[in-house]
Amino acid sequence: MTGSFASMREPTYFILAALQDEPLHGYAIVKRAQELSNGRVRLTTGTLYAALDRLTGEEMVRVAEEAVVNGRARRTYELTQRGMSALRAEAERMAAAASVVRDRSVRSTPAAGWVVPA
Amino acid sequence: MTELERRYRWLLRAYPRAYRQYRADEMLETLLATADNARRPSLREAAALVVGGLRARTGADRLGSRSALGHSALRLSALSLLVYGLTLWAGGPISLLVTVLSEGPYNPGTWWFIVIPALLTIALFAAAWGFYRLAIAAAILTVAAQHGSANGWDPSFWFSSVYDLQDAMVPQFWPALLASLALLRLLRAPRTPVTKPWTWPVLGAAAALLLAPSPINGWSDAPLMSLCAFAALAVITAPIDARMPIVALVLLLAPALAQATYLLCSQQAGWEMEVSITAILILAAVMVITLAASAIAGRRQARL
Repeated sequence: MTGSFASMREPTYFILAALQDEPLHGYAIVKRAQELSNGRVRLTTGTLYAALDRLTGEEMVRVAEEAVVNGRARRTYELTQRGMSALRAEAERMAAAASVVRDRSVRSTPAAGWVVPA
Repeated sequence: MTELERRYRWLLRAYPRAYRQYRADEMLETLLATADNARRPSLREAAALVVGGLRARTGADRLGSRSALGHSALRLSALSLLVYGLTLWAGGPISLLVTVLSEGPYNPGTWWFIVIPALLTIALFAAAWGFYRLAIAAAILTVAAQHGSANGWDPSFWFSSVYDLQDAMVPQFWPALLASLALLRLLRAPRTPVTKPWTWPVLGAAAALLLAPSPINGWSDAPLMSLCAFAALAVITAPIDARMPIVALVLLLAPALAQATYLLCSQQAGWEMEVSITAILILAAVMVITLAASAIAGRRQARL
């Protein structure tokens, strides 16, 4: 599964990640993506909806509900099975990439009795 | 309506009308919710809306896969080459028209300079409407007419010496040939619906009138200068539409191949070369920059 999706951009990853627990509307996705990325991903509205259009076209996200709030249309989006698979594949890809560095730092920990110069 | 909402509504006009009808309300709600009591849109938000709107208008936002991007870039390149070719050849008919209007009936003796732009026009119309077989036939006939106009119709003289390649030493020769190669590739690709075909004949007519060297503008360097200006614009707009630098690069091949043919023939024939190294270096630098921009923007656009 890992190889079936190309690597994603960080905003796309966090948009999908924001939707993994429950369907959300635009503003909630922006806030959730910011929380999940520790404030690093600050989506602009233009970027968010361009990404949602693209993800809807790729059948990774779909409109869960359409409602009218304060006289304006509000759509709630949810992750599809394909979107969940792509998200997991990307997470596994990044975990595998991280393990290359983590495993190496464990192996190269100084052995007992070996003195590191001050 | 608050001042902030009015400003956001104005920025949302960057998007096409159909898109606004579907999305504007929803986007406006998100924009206002994320504004945090600001009185005016942030520069970052405004830039994202303008870029998003332009991408939606050009259709670049719908080119998700590499194959869709490649196919669209190929079609744009073929059409742009035909417009460029028409611009290079339209000076003849325009000059004839100006002469006839000012001095009365006039027989120029040869009609190649009318036949070639006419064939290019047919190729442009056919390609714009998606009739690629007809467009290829017209483009190949254009190449043959160009060669025939330079060397006559006796086939035994066509490739007997480097002198027979003199038509390929000028940029006019290459757009029709490159366009026929691009169209040939399009013919083998899955057929996609054609949108706004009228854009291309209108663009061709405007470019021919404004840029073709003729008594109207009296500017012989207009096509090359405008090509370099287009390449610069294409590099700047690459983040919005990755197809732009690809098209610019393909168009720049015409003067580059003409220059290469000239150098090759000069060496073969032992001619005294009149070559500006600065001009070659500038052309090469512009091509390298457009190539880099197209590679980076293409990879970025195809990524999810």
